[in-house]
Amino acid sequence: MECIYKKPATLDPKGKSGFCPGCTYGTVVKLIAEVVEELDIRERTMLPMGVGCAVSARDWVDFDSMMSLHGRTTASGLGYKRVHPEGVTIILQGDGDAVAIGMAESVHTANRGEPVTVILVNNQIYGRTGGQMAPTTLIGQKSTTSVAGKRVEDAGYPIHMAELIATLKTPRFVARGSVHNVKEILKTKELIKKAVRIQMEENAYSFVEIVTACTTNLGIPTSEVPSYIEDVVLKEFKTGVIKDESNLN
Amino acid sequence: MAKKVLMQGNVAAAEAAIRAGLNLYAGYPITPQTTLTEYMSWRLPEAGGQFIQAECEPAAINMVLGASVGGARALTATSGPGFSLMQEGISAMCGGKLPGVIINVMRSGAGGGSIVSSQADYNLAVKSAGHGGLRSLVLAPYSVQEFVDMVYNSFDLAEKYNNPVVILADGMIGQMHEPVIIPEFKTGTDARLKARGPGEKGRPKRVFKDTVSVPALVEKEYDAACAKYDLWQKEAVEYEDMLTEDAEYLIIAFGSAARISSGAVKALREEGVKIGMVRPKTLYPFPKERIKAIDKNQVKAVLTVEMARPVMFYDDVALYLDRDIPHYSCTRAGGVIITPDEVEEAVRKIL
Ligand SMILES: Cc1ncc(C[n+]2csc(CCOP(=O)(O)OP(=O)(O)O)c2C)c(N)n1
Ligand SMILES: [Mg+2]
Repeated sequence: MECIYKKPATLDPKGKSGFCPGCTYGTVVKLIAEVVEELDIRERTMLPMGVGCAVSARDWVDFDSMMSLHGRTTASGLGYKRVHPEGVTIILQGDGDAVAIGMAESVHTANRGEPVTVILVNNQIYGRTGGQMAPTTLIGQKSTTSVAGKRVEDAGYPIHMAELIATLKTPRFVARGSVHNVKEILKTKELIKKAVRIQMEENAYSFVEIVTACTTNLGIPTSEVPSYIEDVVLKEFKTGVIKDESNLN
Repeated sequence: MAKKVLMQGNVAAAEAAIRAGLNLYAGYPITPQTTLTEYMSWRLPEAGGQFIQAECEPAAINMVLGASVGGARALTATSGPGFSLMQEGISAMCGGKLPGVIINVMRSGAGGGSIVSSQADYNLAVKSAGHGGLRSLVLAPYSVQEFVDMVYNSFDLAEKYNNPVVILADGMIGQMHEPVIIPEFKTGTDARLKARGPGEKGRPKRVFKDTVSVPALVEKEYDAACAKYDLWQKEAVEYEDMLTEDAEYLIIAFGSAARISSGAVKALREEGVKIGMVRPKTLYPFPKERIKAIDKNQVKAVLTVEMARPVMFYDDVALYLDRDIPHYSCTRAGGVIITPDEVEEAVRKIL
Protein backbone atom coordinates (compact mmCIF):
# COMPACT_ATOMS: atom_id res chain seq x y z
CA MET A 1 0.00 0.00 0.00
CA GLU A 2 1.25 3.50 -0.74
CA CYS A 3 1.77 5.73 2.27
CA ILE A 4 0.15 9.08 1.58
CA TYR A 5 0.36 10.64 5.02
CA LYS A 6 2.58 10.04 8.04
CA LYS A 7 3.94 11.79 11.03
CA PRO A 8 7.40 13.13 10.17
CA ALA A 9 10.28 11.28 11.82
CA THR A 10 11.57 14.70 12.87
CA LEU A 11 8.82 14.83 15.49
CA ASP A 12 9.80 12.89 18.59
CA PRO A 13 7.38 9.93 18.92
CA LYS A 14 7.75 10.15 22.70
CA GLY A 15 7.52 13.93 22.75
CA LYS A 16 4.26 15.78 22.92
CA SER A 17 2.85 18.97 21.56
CA GLY A 18 2.39 21.40 24.41
CA PHE A 19 -0.18 23.51 22.60
CA CYS A 20 -3.77 24.10 23.70
CA PRO A 21 -6.44 21.88 22.14
CA GLY A 22 -7.73 23.48 18.97
CA CYS A 23 -4.76 25.78 18.49
CA THR A 24 -3.14 25.59 15.06
CA TYR A 25 0.33 26.55 16.32
CA GLY A 26 1.04 22.82 16.40
CA THR A 27 0.36 22.68 12.68
CA VAL A 28 3.09 25.26 12.09
CA VAL A 29 5.56 23.17 14.09
CA LYS A 30 4.53 20.03 12.22
CA LEU A 31 5.06 21.79 8.88
CA ILE A 32 8.54 22.86 9.95
CA ALA A 33 9.28 19.27 10.99
CA GLU A 34 8.04 17.98 7.63
CA VAL A 35 10.22 20.44 5.74
CA VAL A 36 13.23 19.45 7.85
CA GLU A 37 12.57 15.80 7.05
CA GLU A 38 11.97 16.34 3.35
CA LEU A 39 15.10 18.45 2.91
CA ASP A 40 17.02 15.85 4.93
CA ILE A 41 18.51 18.43 7.28
CA ARG A 42 17.65 17.02 10.72
CA GLU A 43 21.23 17.14 12.02
CA ARG A 44 21.86 20.57 10.53
CA THR A 45 18.75 22.26 11.84
CA MET A 46 18.66 24.59 14.85
CA LEU A 47 15.30 25.93 16.03
CA PRO A 48 15.68 29.04 18.21
CA MET A 49 12.35 29.61 19.95
CA GLY A 50 11.02 32.88 21.31
CA VAL A 51 9.61 33.07 24.81
CA GLY A 52 5.91 32.43 24.40
CA CYS A 53 3.97 29.56 22.94
CA ALA A 54 6.90 28.74 20.64
CA VAL A 55 8.65 26.91 23.49
CA SER A 56 5.93 24.27 23.34
CA ALA A 57 7.73 22.99 20.26
CA ARG A 58 10.83 22.18 22.30
CA ASP A 59 9.95 18.76 23.63
CA TRP A 60 8.14 17.80 20.45
CA VAL A 61 10.62 18.30 17.64
CA ASP A 62 13.43 15.78 17.27
CA PHE A 63 16.15 18.20 16.22
CA ASP A 64 18.21 20.87 17.96
CA SER A 65 16.50 23.80 19.59
CA MET A 66 17.36 26.66 21.87
CA MET A 67 15.36 28.83 24.18
CA SER A 68 15.80 32.55 23.79
CA LEU A 69 15.15 35.61 25.86
CA HIS A 70 11.98 37.50 24.97
CA GLY A 71 12.59 39.44 21.76
CA ARG A 72 16.17 38.27 21.26
CA THR A 73 15.37 35.17 19.25
CA THR A 74 16.83 36.44 16.00
CA ALA A 75 19.95 37.75 17.79
CA SER A 76 20.75 34.45 19.51
CA GLY A 77 19.69 32.49 16.42
CA LEU A 78 22.00 34.40 14.11
CA GLY A 79 24.83 34.16 16.66
CA TYR A 80 24.53 30.40 16.33
CA LYS A 81 24.25 30.53 12.54
CA ARG A 82 27.32 32.76 12.18
CA VAL A 83 29.50 30.16 13.84
CA HIS A 84 27.83 27.23 12.05
CA PRO A 85 27.28 28.53 8.53
CA GLU A 86 26.65 24.95 7.33
CA GLY A 87 23.71 24.73 9.74
CA VAL A 88 20.11 25.64 8.97
CA THR A 89 18.58 28.07 11.45
CA ILE A 90 14.80 28.29 11.58
CA ILE A 91 13.72 30.94 14.06
CA LEU A 92 10.25 30.49 15.58
CA GLN A 93 8.79 33.64 17.12
CA GLY A 94 5.54 35.05 18.38
CA ASP A 95 4.21 38.47 17.39
CA GLY A 96 5.02 39.97 20.77
CA ASP A 97 8.53 38.60 20.49
CA ALA A 98 9.25 39.71 16.93
CA VAL A 99 7.06 42.79 16.52
CA ALA A 100 7.06 44.41 19.99
CA ILE A 101 10.06 43.76 22.22
CA GLY A 102 12.24 42.37 19.43
CA MET A 103 11.39 44.82 16.65
CA ALA A 104 14.92 46.17 16.43
CA GLU A 105 16.43 42.69 16.21
CA SER A 106 13.82 41.62 13.63
CA VAL A 107 14.51 44.56 11.34
CA HIS A 108 18.29 44.49 11.61
CA THR A 109 18.56 40.73 11.20
CA ALA A 110 16.55 41.10 7.99
CA ASN A 111 18.45 44.16 6.86
CA ARG A 112 21.87 42.59 7.30
CA GLY A 113 20.59 39.63 5.34
CA GLU A 114 21.60 37.13 7.97
CA PRO A 115 21.12 33.71 6.34
CA VAL A 116 18.35 32.53 8.64
CA THR A 117 14.66 31.80 8.18
CA VAL A 118 12.22 33.60 10.45
CA ILE A 119 8.84 31.97 11.05
CA LEU A 120 6.63 34.54 12.77
CA VAL A 121 3.45 33.12 14.26
CA ASN A 122 0.90 35.92 14.28
CA ASN A 123 -1.85 34.97 16.73
CA GLN A 124 -2.76 38.63 17.34
CA ILE A 125 -2.12 38.29 21.04
CA TYR A 126 0.33 37.48 23.82
CA GLY A 127 -0.78 33.89 24.10
CA ARG A 128 1.56 32.44 26.68
CA THR A 129 1.06 35.21 29.21
CA GLY A 130 -2.69 34.99 29.13
CA GLY A 131 -4.00 37.17 26.36
CA GLN A 132 -2.62 40.70 26.51
CA MET A 133 -2.73 43.04 23.53
CA ALA A 134 -0.02 42.62 20.89
CA PRO A 135 1.05 45.03 18.13
CA THR A 136 -0.90 42.71 15.82
CA THR A 137 -4.12 42.74 17.84
CA LEU A 138 -7.02 43.79 15.61
CA ILE A 139 -8.84 47.08 16.14
CA GLY A 140 -11.79 46.37 18.40
CA GLN A 141 -10.37 43.07 19.57
CA LYS A 142 -10.68 42.47 23.30
CA SER A 143 -7.68 41.41 25.32
CA THR A 144 -6.79 41.57 29.00
CA THR A 145 -5.08 44.92 28.42
CA SER A 146 -7.73 46.25 26.03
CA VAL A 147 -10.83 45.06 27.80
CA ALA A 148 -13.20 47.30 25.83
CA GLY A 149 -11.51 46.44 22.56
CA LYS A 150 -8.27 47.81 21.08
CA ARG A 151 -8.51 51.45 20.01
CA VAL A 152 -6.36 53.20 17.45
CA GLU A 153 -6.11 56.23 19.77
CA ASP A 154 -4.43 54.09 22.42
CA ALA A 155 -2.39 51.59 20.53
CA GLY A 156 -2.26 52.42 16.83
CA TYR A 157 -3.12 50.07 13.98
CA PRO A 158 -2.01 46.44 13.76
CA ILE A 159 1.53 46.20 12.44
CA HIS A 160 1.89 44.21 9.23
CA MET A 161 5.30 42.73 9.87
CA ALA A 162 5.71 40.88 6.59
CA GLU A 163 5.01 44.02 4.59
CA LEU A 164 7.33 46.00 6.86
CA ILE A 165 10.17 43.51 6.37
CA ALA A 166 9.52 43.54 2.63
CA THR A 167 10.25 47.29 2.48
CA LEU A 168 13.89 46.45 3.21
CA LYS A 169 16.10 45.80 0.22
CA THR A 170 18.03 42.83 1.57
CA PRO A 171 15.43 40.16 2.37
CA ARG A 172 15.24 37.61 -0.43
CA PHE A 173 11.84 36.14 0.34
CA VAL A 174 8.89 37.47 2.38
CA ALA A 175 5.49 35.80 2.56
CA ARG A 176 2.43 35.28 4.73
CA GLY A 177 0.49 32.08 5.07
CA SER A 178 -2.29 30.62 7.16
CA VAL A 179 -3.03 27.14 8.48
CA HIS A 180 -6.80 27.28 9.03
CA ASN A 181 -7.71 24.76 6.31
CA VAL A 182 -6.02 22.01 4.31
CA LYS A 183 -5.49 24.10 1.21
CA GLU A 184 -3.80 26.89 3.17
CA ILE A 185 -1.76 24.37 5.16
CA LEU A 186 -0.35 22.92 1.95
CA LYS A 187 0.39 26.38 0.54
CA THR A 188 2.04 27.47 3.77
CA LYS A 189 4.22 24.37 3.79
CA GLU A 190 5.53 25.33 0.36
CA LEU A 191 6.28 28.84 1.64
CA ILE A 192 8.27 27.43 4.56
CA LYS A 193 10.09 24.99 2.32
CA LYS A 194 11.06 27.67 -0.15
CA ALA A 195 12.17 29.99 2.64
CA VAL A 196 14.41 27.30 4.11
CA ARG A 197 15.82 26.39 0.69
CA ILE A 198 16.69 30.05 0.10
CA GLN A 199 18.66 30.04 3.33
CA MET A 200 20.45 26.86 2.29
CA GLU A 201 20.97 27.40 -1.42
CA GLU A 202 21.32 31.17 -1.65
CA ASN A 203 22.73 31.87 1.81
CA ALA A 204 20.06 34.54 2.18
CA TYR A 205 17.50 35.78 4.67
CA SER A 206 13.87 34.67 4.36
CA PHE A 207 10.72 35.46 6.35
CA VAL A 208 7.34 33.75 6.60
CA GLU A 209 4.54 35.11 8.77
CA ILE A 210 1.88 32.56 9.62
CA VAL A 211 -1.56 33.55 10.87
CA THR A 212 -3.12 31.50 13.66
CA ALA A 213 -5.69 32.36 16.30
CA CYS A 214 -5.49 31.85 20.04
CA THR A 215 -8.65 29.91 20.84
CA THR A 216 -7.95 29.90 24.54
CA ASN A 217 -7.60 33.64 24.94
CA LEU A 218 -10.11 34.69 22.28
CA GLY A 219 -12.68 32.58 24.04
CA ILE A 220 -14.23 31.30 20.83
CA PRO A 221 -15.04 27.63 20.29
CA THR A 222 -12.35 25.82 18.36
CA SER A 223 -14.90 24.83 15.73
CA GLU A 224 -15.33 28.51 14.88
CA VAL A 225 -11.63 29.30 14.59
CA PRO A 226 -11.26 28.54 10.85
CA SER A 227 -14.12 30.82 9.90
CA TYR A 228 -12.90 33.52 12.33
CA ILE A 229 -9.50 33.44 10.64
CA GLU A 230 -10.99 33.41 7.17
CA ASP A 231 -13.62 36.10 7.72
CA VAL A 232 -11.91 38.40 10.20
CA VAL A 233 -8.17 37.95 10.58
CA LEU A 234 -7.22 37.40 6.94
CA LYS A 235 -9.13 40.56 6.00
CA GLU A 236 -6.45 42.43 7.95
CA PHE A 237 -3.45 40.19 7.20
CA LYS A 238 -3.53 39.12 3.55
CA THR A 239 -1.81 35.86 2.66
CA GLY A 240 0.54 35.37 -0.26
CA VAL A 241 4.09 36.01 -1.38
CA ILE A 242 4.98 39.64 -0.71
CA LYS A 243 8.49 39.61 -2.07
CA ASP A 244 10.46 36.94 -3.88
CA GLU A 245 13.85 37.77 -5.32
CA SER A 246 15.22 34.26 -5.16
CA ASN A 247 16.39 32.23 -8.13
CA LEU A 248 14.51 29.16 -6.97
CA ASN A 249 11.31 28.14 -8.70
CA MET B 1 61.46 36.30 24.49
CA ALA B 2 58.59 38.05 22.78
CA LYS B 3 59.05 41.72 21.99
CA LYS B 4 57.18 44.45 23.84
CA VAL B 5 55.02 46.73 21.73
CA LEU B 6 53.29 49.97 22.67
CA MET B 7 49.53 49.46 22.46
CA GLN B 8 46.31 50.94 23.71
CA GLY B 9 44.55 48.80 26.33
CA ASN B 10 41.37 48.24 24.32
CA VAL B 11 43.27 47.34 21.17
CA ALA B 12 45.69 45.06 22.99
CA ALA B 13 42.78 43.31 24.72
CA ALA B 14 41.04 42.81 21.36
CA GLU B 15 44.16 41.31 19.85
CA ALA B 16 44.56 39.04 22.89
CA ALA B 17 40.99 37.80 22.46
CA ILE B 18 41.64 37.02 18.81
CA ARG B 19 44.79 35.12 19.74
CA ALA B 20 42.82 33.20 22.34
CA GLY B 21 40.78 31.70 19.49
CA LEU B 22 37.88 34.16 19.33
CA ASN B 23 35.20 33.03 16.84
CA LEU B 24 32.65 35.83 17.19
CA TYR B 25 32.56 39.38 18.48
CA ALA B 26 29.32 41.38 18.70
CA GLY B 27 29.37 44.88 20.09
CA TYR B 28 27.84 48.33 20.04
CA PRO B 29 30.04 51.43 20.14
CA ILE B 30 30.27 53.26 23.47
CA THR B 31 33.06 55.41 24.90
CA PRO B 32 35.48 54.41 26.37
CA GLN B 33 35.11 50.96 24.78
CA THR B 34 34.77 52.06 21.13
CA THR B 35 38.35 51.56 20.01
CA LEU B 36 38.00 47.88 20.88
CA THR B 37 34.98 47.50 18.58
CA GLU B 38 36.68 49.51 15.83
CA TYR B 39 39.76 47.32 15.93
CA MET B 40 37.68 44.13 15.98
CA SER B 41 35.70 45.24 12.93
CA TRP B 42 38.61 44.70 10.56
CA ARG B 43 41.02 42.58 12.54
CA LEU B 44 38.71 39.71 13.55
CA PRO B 45 37.47 38.98 9.97
CA GLU B 46 41.11 39.09 8.87
CA ALA B 47 41.84 36.39 11.48
CA GLY B 48 38.89 34.31 10.30
CA GLY B 49 36.27 35.26 12.91
CA GLN B 50 32.83 36.83 12.74
CA PHE B 51 32.37 40.51 13.59
CA ILE B 52 28.90 41.97 14.06
CA GLN B 53 28.16 45.60 14.83
CA ALA B 54 24.98 44.89 16.77
CA GLU B 55 21.92 47.15 16.71
CA CYS B 56 21.95 47.45 20.51
CA GLU B 57 23.56 45.84 23.53
CA PRO B 58 20.76 43.32 24.21
CA ALA B 59 21.25 42.10 20.64
CA ALA B 60 25.02 41.95 21.13
CA ILE B 61 24.92 39.83 24.29
CA ASN B 62 22.34 37.50 22.76
CA MET B 63 24.48 37.04 19.66
CA VAL B 64 27.25 36.02 22.04
CA LEU B 65 24.81 33.68 23.81
CA GLY B 66 23.75 32.05 20.54
CA ALA B 67 27.35 31.65 19.38
CA SER B 68 28.20 30.04 22.71
CA VAL B 69 25.30 27.60 22.36
CA GLY B 70 27.08 26.67 19.15
CA GLY B 71 30.30 26.09 21.09
CA ALA B 72 32.09 29.19 19.85
CA ARG B 73 34.44 31.47 21.73
CA ALA B 74 32.40 34.65 21.81
CA LEU B 75 33.02 38.11 23.22
CA THR B 76 31.26 41.42 23.67
CA ALA B 77 32.54 44.66 25.14
CA THR B 78 30.69 47.67 26.44
CA SER B 79 30.59 50.33 29.14
CA GLY B 80 28.14 51.38 31.90
CA PRO B 81 24.80 51.94 30.10
CA GLY B 82 25.45 49.06 27.74
CA PHE B 83 26.45 46.83 30.65
CA SER B 84 23.06 47.57 32.26
CA LEU B 85 21.34 46.58 29.03
CA MET B 86 23.25 43.30 28.88
CA GLN B 87 22.27 42.09 32.35
CA GLU B 88 19.37 39.94 31.17
CA GLY B 89 21.59 38.18 28.66
CA ILE B 90 24.36 37.59 31.19
CA SER B 91 21.76 36.16 33.56
CA ALA B 92 20.62 33.76 30.84
CA MET B 93 24.20 32.70 30.13
CA CYS B 94 24.72 31.94 33.82
CA GLY B 95 21.45 30.02 33.92
CA GLY B 96 22.29 28.11 30.76
CA LYS B 97 25.85 27.43 31.99
CA LEU B 98 27.31 29.06 28.91
CA PRO B 99 30.87 30.29 28.64
CA GLY B 100 31.47 33.68 27.07
CA VAL B 101 33.33 36.87 27.89
CA ILE B 102 31.97 40.34 28.58
CA ILE B 103 34.37 43.26 28.88
CA ASN B 104 33.06 46.30 30.74
CA VAL B 105 35.34 49.30 30.18
CA MET B 106 33.75 51.20 33.05
CA ARG B 107 32.77 54.83 32.75
CA SER B 108 31.18 57.03 35.38
CA GLY B 109 27.83 58.35 36.43
CA ALA B 110 24.26 57.14 36.43
CA GLY B 111 22.06 57.22 33.35
CA GLY B 112 24.04 58.51 30.40
CA GLY B 113 26.72 59.45 32.90
CA SER B 114 30.02 60.70 31.64
CA ILE B 115 32.62 59.03 29.49
CA VAL B 116 35.41 59.24 32.03
CA SER B 117 36.73 56.29 34.02
CA SER B 118 35.28 55.07 37.30
CA GLN B 119 34.73 51.87 39.28
CA ALA B 120 31.05 52.41 39.92
CA ASP B 121 29.89 49.17 38.26
CA TYR B 122 31.53 47.05 40.98
CA ASN B 123 28.30 46.00 42.66
CA LEU B 124 26.50 45.49 39.36
CA ALA B 125 29.20 43.13 38.14
CA VAL B 126 29.93 41.30 41.38
CA LYS B 127 26.73 40.95 43.36
CA SER B 128 24.45 39.28 40.82
CA ALA B 129 24.60 38.50 37.10
CA GLY B 130 21.43 40.39 36.24
CA HIS B 131 18.22 39.05 37.78
CA GLY B 132 18.09 35.66 39.43
CA GLY B 133 21.15 36.00 41.63
CA LEU B 134 23.66 33.79 39.79
CA ARG B 135 27.25 35.00 39.47
CA SER B 136 29.76 35.79 36.78
CA LEU B 137 33.45 35.27 37.33
CA VAL B 138 34.71 38.86 37.61
CA LEU B 139 38.30 39.84 36.88
CA ALA B 140 39.84 43.30 37.29
CA PRO B 141 43.03 44.22 35.41
CA TYR B 142 45.34 46.99 36.65
CA SER B 143 47.61 47.40 33.65
CA VAL B 144 47.39 46.96 29.91
CA GLN B 145 49.49 43.81 30.21
CA GLU B 146 47.16 42.37 32.80
CA PHE B 147 44.15 43.31 30.65
CA VAL B 148 45.77 41.33 27.82
CA ASP B 149 46.59 38.33 30.00
CA MET B 150 43.15 38.21 31.60
CA VAL B 151 41.35 38.39 28.26
CA TYR B 152 43.71 35.80 26.79
CA ASN B 153 42.94 33.32 29.57
CA SER B 154 39.30 34.23 30.11
CA PHE B 155 37.91 31.86 27.48
CA ASP B 156 39.66 28.85 29.02
CA LEU B 157 38.35 29.92 32.40
CA ALA B 158 34.81 30.39 31.06
CA GLU B 159 34.89 26.96 29.41
CA LYS B 160 36.41 25.30 32.46
CA TYR B 161 33.51 26.44 34.63
CA ASN B 162 30.79 26.74 31.95
CA ASN B 163 30.15 30.27 33.08
CA PRO B 164 30.42 33.78 31.69
CA VAL B 165 33.45 35.83 32.67
CA VAL B 166 33.18 39.59 33.15
CA ILE B 167 36.34 41.61 32.78
CA LEU B 168 35.87 44.77 34.77
CA ALA B 169 38.33 47.18 33.20
CA ASP B 170 37.80 50.93 33.11
CA GLY B 171 38.38 53.89 30.83
CA MET B 172 41.89 54.36 32.13
CA ILE B 173 43.02 50.79 31.50
CA GLY B 174 41.16 50.69 28.19
CA GLN B 175 42.47 53.92 26.77
CA MET B 176 46.02 54.25 28.01
CA HIS B 177 48.98 53.02 26.00
CA GLU B 178 51.61 50.81 27.60
CA PRO B 179 54.32 48.48 26.39
CA VAL B 180 52.90 44.95 26.30
CA ILE B 181 53.79 41.47 25.25
CA ILE B 182 51.06 40.08 23.02
CA PRO B 183 50.90 36.30 23.40
CA GLU B 184 50.98 33.79 20.54
CA PHE B 185 47.85 32.39 18.87
CA LYS B 186 46.37 29.54 20.89
CA THR B 187 45.75 26.30 19.05
CA GLY B 188 43.11 23.64 19.57
CA THR B 189 40.55 26.10 20.87
CA ASP B 190 37.71 24.86 18.68
CA ALA B 191 36.92 21.47 20.26
CA ARG B 192 33.72 22.81 21.81
CA LEU B 193 32.69 24.45 18.55
CA LYS B 194 33.20 21.24 16.58
CA ALA B 195 31.27 19.19 19.12
CA ARG B 196 28.24 21.42 18.74
CA GLY B 197 28.05 21.59 14.96
CA PRO B 198 25.77 19.54 12.72
CA GLY B 199 27.40 16.21 13.61
CA GLU B 200 26.73 12.69 12.43
CA LYS B 201 23.45 11.34 11.16
CA GLY B 202 20.96 10.14 13.74
CA ARG B 203 22.71 11.77 16.70
CA PRO B 204 20.47 12.76 19.61
CA LYS B 205 19.04 16.26 19.51
CA ARG B 206 20.56 19.01 21.62
CA VAL B 207 18.33 21.33 23.60
CA PHE B 208 19.56 24.57 25.10
CA LYS B 209 17.60 25.97 28.06
CA ASP B 210 18.54 28.94 30.19
CA THR B 211 16.24 27.73 32.94
CA VAL B 212 14.00 24.89 34.01
CA SER B 213 10.52 25.73 35.15
CA VAL B 214 9.71 23.54 38.15
CA PRO B 215 10.69 25.28 41.44
CA ALA B 216 12.19 22.15 43.01
CA LEU B 217 14.40 21.67 39.96
CA VAL B 218 15.34 25.34 39.83
CA GLU B 219 16.38 25.08 43.46
CA LYS B 220 18.64 22.14 42.56
CA GLU B 221 20.20 24.33 39.87
CA TYR B 222 20.92 26.96 42.52
CA ASP B 223 22.50 24.35 44.79
CA ALA B 224 24.75 23.27 41.93
CA ALA B 225 25.64 26.93 41.29
CA CYS B 226 26.53 27.38 44.98
CA ALA B 227 28.81 24.35 44.82
CA LYS B 228 30.48 25.85 41.77
CA TYR B 229 31.04 29.19 43.53
CA ASP B 230 32.52 27.36 46.54
CA LEU B 231 34.90 25.64 44.16
CA TRP B 232 35.92 29.01 42.69
CA GLN B 233 36.64 30.23 46.22
CA LYS B 234 38.99 27.25 46.59
CA GLU B 235 40.76 27.31 43.24
CA ALA B 236 40.08 30.46 41.22
CA VAL B 237 40.86 33.32 43.63
CA GLU B 238 43.70 35.57 42.51
CA TYR B 239 45.30 38.57 44.14
CA GLU B 240 48.66 40.23 44.39
CA ASP B 241 50.56 41.25 47.52
CA MET B 242 52.86 44.23 47.22
CA LEU B 243 55.33 44.86 50.07
CA THR B 244 53.07 43.29 52.65
CA GLU B 245 55.54 41.13 54.63
CA ASP B 246 56.44 43.80 57.17
CA ALA B 247 53.57 46.20 56.44
CA GLU B 248 51.94 48.01 59.32
CA TYR B 249 49.56 49.81 57.02
CA LEU B 250 47.73 48.26 54.09
CA ILE B 251 46.00 49.67 51.06
CA ILE B 252 43.39 47.42 49.49
CA ALA B 253 42.28 48.36 45.98
CA PHE B 254 41.62 46.84 42.56
CA GLY B 255 42.05 47.89 38.94
CA SER B 256 43.15 51.43 38.21
CA ALA B 257 42.67 52.52 41.83
CA ALA B 258 45.28 49.91 42.75
CA ARG B 259 47.54 51.09 39.98
CA ILE B 260 47.36 54.66 41.22
CA SER B 261 47.78 53.57 44.83
CA SER B 262 50.95 51.66 43.98
CA GLY B 263 52.57 55.06 43.34
CA ALA B 264 51.61 56.20 46.81
CA VAL B 265 52.92 52.98 48.36
CA LYS B 266 56.32 53.47 46.72
CA ALA B 267 56.56 57.12 47.75
CA LEU B 268 55.64 56.37 51.36
CA ARG B 269 58.06 53.43 51.53
CA GLU B 270 60.87 55.79 50.48
CA GLU B 271 60.02 57.85 53.53
CA GLY B 272 60.21 54.73 55.67
CA VAL B 273 56.49 54.15 56.19
CA LYS B 274 55.88 50.43 56.45
CA ILE B 275 53.04 50.23 53.97
CA GLY B 276 51.96 47.59 51.48
CA MET B 277 49.04 46.74 49.24
CA VAL B 278 46.75 43.79 48.63
CA ARG B 279 45.21 43.89 45.20
CA PRO B 280 42.40 41.48 44.26
CA LYS B 281 42.58 40.37 40.63
CA THR B 282 39.41 38.33 40.97
CA LEU B 283 36.54 40.38 42.40
CA TYR B 284 34.29 37.33 42.25
CA PRO B 285 35.42 35.00 43.72
CA PHE B 286 36.49 37.60 46.26
CA PRO B 287 39.82 36.88 48.04
CA LYS B 288 38.13 36.64 51.39
CA GLU B 289 40.67 34.30 52.99
CA ARG B 290 43.42 36.79 52.17
CA ILE B 291 41.49 39.62 53.79
CA LYS B 292 40.66 37.44 56.84
CA ALA B 293 44.37 36.66 57.20
CA ILE B 294 45.30 40.31 57.79
CA ASP B 295 46.75 40.18 61.29
CA LYS B 296 45.73 42.83 63.81
CA ASN B 297 49.01 42.28 65.65
CA GLN B 298 50.89 43.46 62.60
CA VAL B 299 48.58 45.79 60.70
CA LYS B 300 47.59 49.03 62.42
CA ALA B 301 45.10 50.26 59.82
CA VAL B 302 43.68 49.47 56.41
CA LEU B 303 42.77 51.97 53.71
CA THR B 304 40.45 50.92 50.89
CA VAL B 305 40.83 53.01 47.75
CA GLU B 306 38.13 53.04 45.06
CA MET B 307 36.56 55.34 42.47
CA ALA B 308 32.95 55.06 43.56
CA ARG B 309 30.65 56.83 46.00
CA PRO B 310 28.95 55.50 48.03
CA VAL B 311 31.58 52.84 48.58
CA MET B 312 31.04 49.33 47.25
CA PHE B 313 34.38 47.53 47.32
CA TYR B 314 35.00 48.85 50.86
CA ASP B 315 31.93 46.96 52.06
CA ASP B 316 33.25 43.64 50.78
CA VAL B 317 36.62 44.22 52.41
CA ALA B 318 34.87 45.19 55.66
CA LEU B 319 32.94 41.94 55.62
CA TYR B 320 36.11 39.85 56.02
CA LEU B 321 38.53 42.24 57.73
CA ASP B 322 39.21 41.72 61.43
CA ARG B 323 36.91 44.15 63.29
CA ASP B 324 39.76 45.27 65.53
CA ILE B 325 41.66 46.79 62.62
CA PRO B 326 40.63 50.39 61.87
CA HIS B 327 39.34 50.53 58.28
CA TYR B 328 39.30 53.78 56.31
CA SER B 329 38.34 54.63 52.80
CA CYS B 330 39.62 57.03 50.19
CA THR B 331 37.35 57.66 47.21
CA ARG B 332 36.75 59.85 44.20
CA ALA B 333 33.71 59.51 42.01
CA GLY B 334 31.90 60.70 38.93
CA GLY B 335 34.90 60.40 36.66
CA VAL B 336 37.29 62.35 38.87
CA ILE B 337 40.43 60.21 38.78
CA ILE B 338 42.07 59.72 42.13
CA THR B 339 45.73 60.82 42.31
CA PRO B 340 48.69 59.18 44.08
CA ASP B 341 49.02 62.39 46.13
CA GLU B 342 45.46 62.06 47.40
CA VAL B 343 46.07 58.46 48.37
CA GLU B 344 49.31 59.47 50.11
CA GLU B 345 47.44 62.21 51.94
CA ALA B 346 44.76 59.75 53.07
CA VAL B 347 47.44 57.40 54.38
CA ARG B 348 49.19 60.21 56.30
CA LYS B 349 45.94 60.98 58.11
CA ILE B 350 45.78 57.48 59.57
CA LEU B 351 49.46 57.00 60.46
C1 LIG C 1 11.91 40.70 29.05
C2 LIG C 1 10.62 39.98 29.21
N1 LIG C 1 9.48 40.69 29.28
C3 LIG C 1 8.31 40.04 29.42
C4 LIG C 1 8.25 38.69 29.49
C5 LIG C 1 6.93 37.99 29.69
N2 LIG C 1 6.44 37.36 28.46
C6 LIG C 1 6.70 36.07 28.16
S1 LIG C 1 6.02 35.58 26.73
C7 LIG C 1 5.34 37.11 26.47
C8 LIG C 1 4.49 37.41 25.30
C9 LIG C 1 4.48 36.36 24.30
O1 LIG C 1 3.71 36.77 23.24
P1 LIG C 1 4.11 36.36 21.79
O2 LIG C 1 5.51 36.69 21.52
O3 LIG C 1 3.09 36.90 20.86
O4 LIG C 1 4.05 34.77 21.85
P2 LIG C 1 2.77 33.81 21.94
O5 LIG C 1 2.76 33.26 23.32
O6 LIG C 1 1.56 34.60 21.62
O7 LIG C 1 3.03 32.77 20.92
C10 LIG C 1 5.67 37.97 27.50
C11 LIG C 1 5.21 39.37 27.57
C12 LIG C 1 9.48 37.98 29.43
N3 LIG C 1 9.54 36.65 29.49
N4 LIG C 1 10.63 38.66 29.29
MG1 LIG D 1 1.41 36.06 20.00
